[in-house]
Amino acid sequence: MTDSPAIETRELTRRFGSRTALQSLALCVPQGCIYGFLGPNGAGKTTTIRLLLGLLRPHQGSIFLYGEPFTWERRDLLRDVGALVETPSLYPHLTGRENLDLTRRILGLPIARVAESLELTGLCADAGRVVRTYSLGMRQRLGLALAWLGKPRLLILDEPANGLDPAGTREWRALLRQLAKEHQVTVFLSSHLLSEVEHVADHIGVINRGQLVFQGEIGNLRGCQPPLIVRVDRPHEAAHLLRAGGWRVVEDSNHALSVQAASETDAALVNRALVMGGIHVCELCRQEDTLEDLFLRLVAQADAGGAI
Amino acid sequence: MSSFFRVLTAEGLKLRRTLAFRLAVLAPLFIVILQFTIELVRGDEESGAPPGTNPLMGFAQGILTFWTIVLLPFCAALIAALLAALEHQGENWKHLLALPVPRTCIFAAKWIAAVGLLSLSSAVLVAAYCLAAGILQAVKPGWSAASWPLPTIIQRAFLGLCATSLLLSIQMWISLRWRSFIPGLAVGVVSLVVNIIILPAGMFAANLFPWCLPAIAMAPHSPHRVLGVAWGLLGGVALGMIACWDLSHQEHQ
Ligand SMILES: Nc1ncnc2c1ncn2[C@@H]1O[C@H](COP(=O)(O)OP(=O)(O)OP(=O)(O)O)[C@@H](O)[C@H]1O
Ligand SMILES: [Mg+2]
Repeated sequence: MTDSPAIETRELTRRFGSRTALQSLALCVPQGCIYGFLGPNGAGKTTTIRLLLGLLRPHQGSIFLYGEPFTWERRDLLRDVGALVETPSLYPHLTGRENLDLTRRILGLPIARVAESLELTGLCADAGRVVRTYSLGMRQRLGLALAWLGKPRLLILDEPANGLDPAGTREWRALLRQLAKEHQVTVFLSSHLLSEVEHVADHIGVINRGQLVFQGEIGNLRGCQPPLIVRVDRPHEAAHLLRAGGWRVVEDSNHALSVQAASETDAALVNRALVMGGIHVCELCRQEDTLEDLFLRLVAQADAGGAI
Repeated sequence: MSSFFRVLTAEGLKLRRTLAFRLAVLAPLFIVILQFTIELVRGDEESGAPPGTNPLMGFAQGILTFWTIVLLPFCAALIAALLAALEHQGENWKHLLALPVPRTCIFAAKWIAAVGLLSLSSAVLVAAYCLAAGILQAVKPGWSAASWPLPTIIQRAFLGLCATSLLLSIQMWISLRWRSFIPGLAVGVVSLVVNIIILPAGMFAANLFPWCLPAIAMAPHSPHRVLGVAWGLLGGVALGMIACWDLSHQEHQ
C-alpha cells in the first residue's frame, strides 16, 4: 500500500439534479507531490473536493485514499487528511487560539499542536485576538493552521489564496513548499488561476465542465516546446535556406521567422546554418508559452470534443 | 464514546462569548426581576392570594407560570437557532463533518449543549428566585413567617425541563437542517401562540402538544402531569435520536 497514490478516483461522477457536475473523473495524485487542480469557474473543483472529504456522495465511481476505498462510512480515513474548502471555517467570536483548540479537542491531539500550527502560519502574535478582527489573509492562514493541526499526510486546499494580495500569495506558496519539503505532505491544491499553481505544483490536473482534460507532471504539459524566434536581416532568404535544410519555418512580420526547433542543439544548428548562408542573425530567442496559453488551448480542445 | 466526549468539550468551548449563553442566563433573571418588582411595589392586601396561603409559594407560582408557558419554549427556540447559526454562519459544517469522528457524535453533542443551556437557565431561575424571595422576606413584614417551598420549586423546574425535551428536539432538528433561522423561529412563535390558546381551553390535545408540555408538567394539580413529563422526555429523546441519524446521513452541499 505504500506506493498507492494519495488520492485515486475511478469513474467519479456526480450530478446535481439533471446537471452533471463531474463526469467519470479519474484523478491520480501521487504521494508527496504538490498537485495543482486547475479549472475555470464552475468546472467542478469544489464538488470534487467535497466528494474527497465525504461531504457529498458520488453517484458513480469510487475514491481511494492511500489505496483504501473511501466511503461514507469510512470516516476514519480522514485522519490523514487536512482540508481547507473555499473560505476557512472559523468561529468569529472565538480567538485564533480557541478556534484551533476546538479542532484539537475533537481530534484528541496534544495541546502543543496548537502552538506549532500557529508558529508555522506566523499567527502567534495575533492568536489571542478574536477572529472577527482578523484580516482576510490572517483568516486564510488560520484556515491552513486548522487544516495542518493534525499533521495530516494529505492537505486538500480549495482555492486557498482567494482574496490574497501578491505578497500574501507568494507567502502561501513558500508555506506550501515548506510543508511538502519538510514534512513530505501531499498537497492537493485547487485553483482557477494558473499563476497560483504553476510555481508550486509538480503535478497538474486540468478539469473543465466536470471532465479531466489533462493530468500529468507539469513538465509534460509544457513538453511541446514553443517555437524558436529568429530575427534576421533578410527573412525571405533565410526562410528559404532553412526550409532547404529540412526545418519547418513560418515567416512572421518584422523580419522574424518562427522555427520549430525543439532542443538547445537545434537552436545552435539553426544559427550555424544561417551564419554559414551569410545571413545576419540579430536575435534568437524562444517565445515563452505560458501555462495560461496552454490551458486555454486544452480547454478549447476539450470543448471542441477533441482529446489531448 | 471518547469521540463523543471530545466533541462535547469542544462544544462547550464554542459557547464562550455567545448570545446563546447570555440568553440562557438573562432570560430567567428577567422574569424573576419582573415578578420581584411587582411583589415589591404592591401591598400585602393587593396580592389577590387568599389569606393563609404561603406568599413565597405565590411568588414562585407567578414566576413558574410565565416561565413555562412563554419563556422556556421561546428560549428553546432561540437557543436552538443560535447554536445552529454558529455552524451555518461560517459554513463550519464543511470543516466539522470532514473530521474523522462519527457524525452522530457531532450532532448529539449539539443536542447536549442545548439541553445544558436550558438546564443552566432553570438553575439560574431557581437561584434567582431564592435571592429575590430572601430579599422580599426581609423587606415585607407579612412574609417573614412564610416557609420556603424550595423542594417543590426545584421539583417543578426539573419536571418542566424534562417536558421541554420534545419541543427542543423539534426546534433543534429544524434549526440544524435549514441554514436560515427563519423556519425554526417561525415554528417556535406559531406554536407558542397555539400553546397560549389551547392550554387555558383545557382540551385534551394540549396534553400531547409539545409546546404545552412544560406548563402541564409544572402545574401542581394537573391530572395528566405524569403523561406530560413522560411524553415530553421520552418523545424528546426518541426524536433527538432520529434527528441525529437523519442529519448525519445528509450530504453537505
Ligand atoms: N449544491 C449544488 N446544487 C446544484 N448545483 C451545484 C451545487 N454545487 C455545485 N453545483 C454545480 O456544479 C458545478 C460545479 O461546481 P463547483 O462548485 O464544483 O465548481 P468550481 O470548479 O469549484 O468553481 P469555482 O472556481 O467557481 O469555485 C457548477 O455548475 C455548479 O453550478
Ligand atoms: Mg470552487
